[in-house]
Amino acid sequence: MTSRKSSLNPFGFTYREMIKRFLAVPVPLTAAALFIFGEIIPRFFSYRSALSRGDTAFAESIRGTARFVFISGSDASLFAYAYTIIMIVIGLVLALYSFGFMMLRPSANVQYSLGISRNKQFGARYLAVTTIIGLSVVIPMLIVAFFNVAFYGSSKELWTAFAFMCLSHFTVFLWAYTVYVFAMVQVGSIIESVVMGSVCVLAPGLLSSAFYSLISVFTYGSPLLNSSTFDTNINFFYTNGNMVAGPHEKLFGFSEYLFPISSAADSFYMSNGEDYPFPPFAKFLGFLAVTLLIACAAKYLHSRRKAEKAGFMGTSPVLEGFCVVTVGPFLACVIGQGINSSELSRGAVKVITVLAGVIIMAVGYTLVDLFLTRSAKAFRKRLWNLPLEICVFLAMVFVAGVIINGAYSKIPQAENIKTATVSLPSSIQEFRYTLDSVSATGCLPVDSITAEQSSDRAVFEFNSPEEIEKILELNNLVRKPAKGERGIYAVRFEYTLKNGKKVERFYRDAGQNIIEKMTSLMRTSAYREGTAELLRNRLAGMTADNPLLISPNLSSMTIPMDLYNDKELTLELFKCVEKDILDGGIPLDFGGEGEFLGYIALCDFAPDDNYIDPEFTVSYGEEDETADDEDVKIAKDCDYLKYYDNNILFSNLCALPVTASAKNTVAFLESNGLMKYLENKEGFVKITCCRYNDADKTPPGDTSTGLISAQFVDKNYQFSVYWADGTEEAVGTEMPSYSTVVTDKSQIAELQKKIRAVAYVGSGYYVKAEFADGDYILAYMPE
Amino acid sequence: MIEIKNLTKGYGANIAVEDISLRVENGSVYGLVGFNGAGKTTLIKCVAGVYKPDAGQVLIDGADTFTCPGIRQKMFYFSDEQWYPKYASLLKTAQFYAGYYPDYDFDMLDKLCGVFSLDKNAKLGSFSKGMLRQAIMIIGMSAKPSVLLLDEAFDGLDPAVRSRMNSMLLDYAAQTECSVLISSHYLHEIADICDRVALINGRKIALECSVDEAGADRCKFRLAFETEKTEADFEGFDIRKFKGDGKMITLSLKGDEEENEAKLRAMNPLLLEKFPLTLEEVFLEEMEGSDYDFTEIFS
Repeated sequence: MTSRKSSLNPFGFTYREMIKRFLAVPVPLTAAALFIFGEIIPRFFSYRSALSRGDTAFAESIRGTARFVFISGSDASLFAYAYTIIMIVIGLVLALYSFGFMMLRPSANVQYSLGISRNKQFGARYLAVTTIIGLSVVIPMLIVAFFNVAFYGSSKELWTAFAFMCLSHFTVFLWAYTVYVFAMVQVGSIIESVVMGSVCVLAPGLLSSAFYSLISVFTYGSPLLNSSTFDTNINFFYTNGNMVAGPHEKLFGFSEYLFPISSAADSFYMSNGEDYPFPPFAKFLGFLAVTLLIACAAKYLHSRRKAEKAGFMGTSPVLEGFCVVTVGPFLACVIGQGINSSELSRGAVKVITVLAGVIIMAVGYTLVDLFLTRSAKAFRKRLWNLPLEICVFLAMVFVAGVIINGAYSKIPQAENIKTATVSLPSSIQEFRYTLDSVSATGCLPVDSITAEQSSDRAVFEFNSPEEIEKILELNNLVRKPAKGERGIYAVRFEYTLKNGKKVERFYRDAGQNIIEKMTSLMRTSAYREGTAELLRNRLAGMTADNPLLISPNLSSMTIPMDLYNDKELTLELFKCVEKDILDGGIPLDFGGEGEFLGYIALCDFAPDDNYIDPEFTVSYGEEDETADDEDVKIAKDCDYLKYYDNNILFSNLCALPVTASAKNTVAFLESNGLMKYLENKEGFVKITCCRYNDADKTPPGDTSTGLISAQFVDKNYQFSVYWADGTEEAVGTEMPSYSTVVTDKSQIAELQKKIRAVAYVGSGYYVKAEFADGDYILAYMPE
Repeated sequence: MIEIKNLTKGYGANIAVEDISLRVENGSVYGLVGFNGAGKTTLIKCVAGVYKPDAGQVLIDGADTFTCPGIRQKMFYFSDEQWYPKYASLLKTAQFYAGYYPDYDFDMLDKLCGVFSLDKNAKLGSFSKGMLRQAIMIIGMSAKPSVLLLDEAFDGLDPAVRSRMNSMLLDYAAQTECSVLISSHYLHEIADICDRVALINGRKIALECSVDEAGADRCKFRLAFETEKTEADFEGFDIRKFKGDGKMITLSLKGDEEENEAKLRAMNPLLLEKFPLTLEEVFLEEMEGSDYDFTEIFS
């Protein structure tokens, strides 16, 4: 008789069995990963093909300057998230197939009666799946790395990137799998495994989002949040995606280091820049350590698992409670966050949020528990869990509403403040220390000056007692808004106290009144000095290639070529501008004292750009036949500027408005014969004013006349004309018929003084001011 | 040898088996009988190491089955709900088990497949319920266990196959000194193959004895009297079951058979007949409330 006496190693046998079962898994994952990360492959073959054709120039253009390519392109972010979701879904599938035996009585009976300890059984299965995950991650990356080597050659940077990609993907994949297993060892049914496992996977994002929202609702004035986190949506999954550098990271920055999913997408953007920074290996090794700790906890729970749970629902009140405590507050906070921007008072919002939390948790708990136990008796017996879970939610509210709010509800006394700043955070990238977000179409001078230094915004520090009082007044206005004065603006205050401490306050829903009051700060000397300094800094980087543009109209700016080659003269002009800024001659706010004359601007692009021919031949636009070649040399329409809706932030222009009150500048222009560029038109012959209001959806007159609609998109007002036939177009060519047309010269002169270059509110007048030759400018007038 | 010492196991507040002790010697075939939900399956799962006892111990050859997984390599558990690897054939399933049983014997498997006319390369999913039970049984026997735990193993088998299985089991136990613990509702089957039997009557063992001795201390009498008799007339007897129909009385009495017969004859019956009790009758007598008068329910 032949007996088989080979298998005295049940651990090894289980491991091999599991490997055999999952051997096919790496195949689809490799295909998916190659689809996402294998951009190098077609690029490599295109390169080879170009080389074989002898088209070396094209081949080199394909090759570029990179040292390796793992992922790139505009869809990289989307693909990276898609790959993360694939890893999570496959993690669930692997968990179900490797530990699903626990959920069915027949398989649990057999598996637990076999001659292998529970710890070894867990270890063999977990290790086998870990091996499969490792293969699934490494195989596609090895293929990509192979093509990189063939294309760019081997380099330390390539293999560092390879190692990092493998580590980060492996960690995220294993983390998802482990969390699902952690949930499975506690429950008795497949449905609970899927639902509760998914809640566990999402729990970090759900809980932190809930907590963010609670702070947003309960802690008015906390600098721990910024507007972008919540104003657009509640992104509970990739919380890090909405997080921005700022003080709030003191509280929530830890999430980046605890929850691999939040950071997974970041890892896909392996820097391929010139500096090739060393990737954050430590971060993912930390995630891996957390994952292994979860695995150890799962192993312990498996060793103590009661086999009789198999097939039964509601066997894990602890996990069920965790899910209710995770999802309940999140849903409550979605409601709280949703009504936070409404007209309701802050107190009402707080009460509704807490009530919503309690009701959602009570209803959710009841439904979930009754579904799981399907027994009124068992439900009654476990009902003590509900108050416990509600207490957890109330504890979160307490932390957000009492502890954190208490810390941020007060503002410092004026006598203790050394300097103060106020700013409107407008970017998800950073807190911006200027007032640029209030400008919509067009922008403020300071924004135009600093457009090139967006990552290095200036801080206007106000230190005189009067200015500090103004800022405190603003702060109080925002802190305790009157009824109907809540709005959409985020405002940040920063105080440096005399004892050296810094105090920050952040408010996310300041109303229009605060914006209007902030403009008064633009007329202070501190603001003017700060702006002048910014201008000096900007000019310090100017070269002889930077053309000067002078024009009454941003849509067809003239290049005075006599100044173009005269850097000294240009600098002299800007020194006059600087003086006018300091003297208050050039308006830095939305209005202006004197008649609006036009703009002077410094253009950052070189003249050999496609737009302007260095030999004065026209590439785009038409030569001004009427111009005197000796005197003016050339005047061109820079049509591309029109394309950007006259926004001087585009096209790297440093543009400043010139009014009649800018005495130094006007004097310089006159003495150098440059006023003609501002006066080459005979002045406006017709001004068409059209009322707009973002709340209005119907035109005041006949609906066939069209309607100018101002829509607040992102942080700007975007203007369009909606016609009765359903078409939509940018404002300019034709104005709606309910517009008021002014042709009287004296009225035009009056209106001209009121025209602003920018619009910052949802209502006012849209202005089309036309010259005799048909050219026109678009501007705005306040109510 | 299987030793169960003061075993208690419950599900939450419900106690399934309580303070149960029994011993299955090497080479012995031990039967567990009891009504549905009496705790037979719970007891066997505790023995198999699937369930952790709340109290007490289950030892196989002196080793705890729950905490010493190595000992389970000598034991095969035939569950009342069959499981096999998905899409696996009989041979593949045997290969799966062979990974956990060091003495797995594929020759024996081949021979047993021949005896039971089972195709070892056929998928188990295509087998009927009875064939599947045969297949799992011969897969388990081929593991050459020294302890066999069979939970309702013979359900769904036709009489011929059942007879063959019984023979196989008895021969295997006799030849290998294997301890067999078998639960079944088929009392006559237990009587046929078991040498000892335990009757679980809700949580506890109501009766534990060798099969031969099961009815030894009790006897059934049928009596006819001139006048009508009631149970009260038989005071002084250890009555296990009484069925009276006026003058005709059927009695099951515990105690010495000769002594009881003598006492009954002293009551001058017109007729006295004596019958030995079957295991099934003993089982039913020990079941509390089993003797429902359905006429009352359906009237």
